[in-house]
Amino acid sequence: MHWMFSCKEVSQLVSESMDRALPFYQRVLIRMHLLMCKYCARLREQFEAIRAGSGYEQLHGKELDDSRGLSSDGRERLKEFLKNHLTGTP
Amino acid sequence: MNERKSEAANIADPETWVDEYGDFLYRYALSRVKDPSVAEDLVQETFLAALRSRENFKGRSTGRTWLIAILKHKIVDYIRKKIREPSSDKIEALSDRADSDFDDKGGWQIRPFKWAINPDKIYEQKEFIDVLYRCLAELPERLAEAFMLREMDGLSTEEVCKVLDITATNSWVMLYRARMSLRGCLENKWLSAEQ
Repeated sequence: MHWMFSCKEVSQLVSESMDRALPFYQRVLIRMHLLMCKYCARLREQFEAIRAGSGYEQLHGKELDDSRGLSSDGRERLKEFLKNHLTGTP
Repeated sequence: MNERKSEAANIADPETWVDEYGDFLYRYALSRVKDPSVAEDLVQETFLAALRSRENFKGRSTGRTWLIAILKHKIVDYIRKKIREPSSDKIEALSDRADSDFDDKGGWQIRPFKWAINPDKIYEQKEFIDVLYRCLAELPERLAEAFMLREMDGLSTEEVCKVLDITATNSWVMLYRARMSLRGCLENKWLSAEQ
């Protein structure tokens, strides 16, 4: 165990902290590093933006254009498709 | 409770899917691929995949969330095929790329830019999301799979490990490489488009 992490190590640990709970000492050392290093702090913000952009939690459809739905032909095609698959018709 | 029940009932009855979820899935697909006929095909593929795996729907998420997760995978597959650059599965190459961000002492060699983005209003950044999808499609397939299971499907790392049959340590390394690769790709493609 060492008490100063390099930026490379911090980048790995910031990512890991998004997937598991890190030990307390690592969390403290990362926080100290992030206070001193704006590039690693930026990296953390970037990882968070990527997570937010990928996340489905935020997806409530509000970003979508409500005026555009399936065409009536498209709707029928999809219904037919599902029906055929349910009845086993090729 | 009733809502959850009716969700389960909706998923159990595929004949209701088009009316219940068709428009939403179509709009989502269209927002990513722009072409109406491709968007419709993607919805169809999503329904087909859902039909085949509907016994896996445990009702932990809403039907819409479950279907949108399937659709996202289909969109990334579509973009991957479209760019005709079959992502080589040389994950080691990505490791080199992540390493090249740092010097021998582990300091930044290529410093991260400040991104003008608010994660709380991410969906106002359509360009960012578009580029994110393109970057995802360029990831080696296995890395993309790990990333999507974790970040798009919301699986825990334990669940990701089970699906991909990998160790926890492996999953953290893969997710790190995926994130580093995505941020590098976004800096190249999104920031250069913004400037």
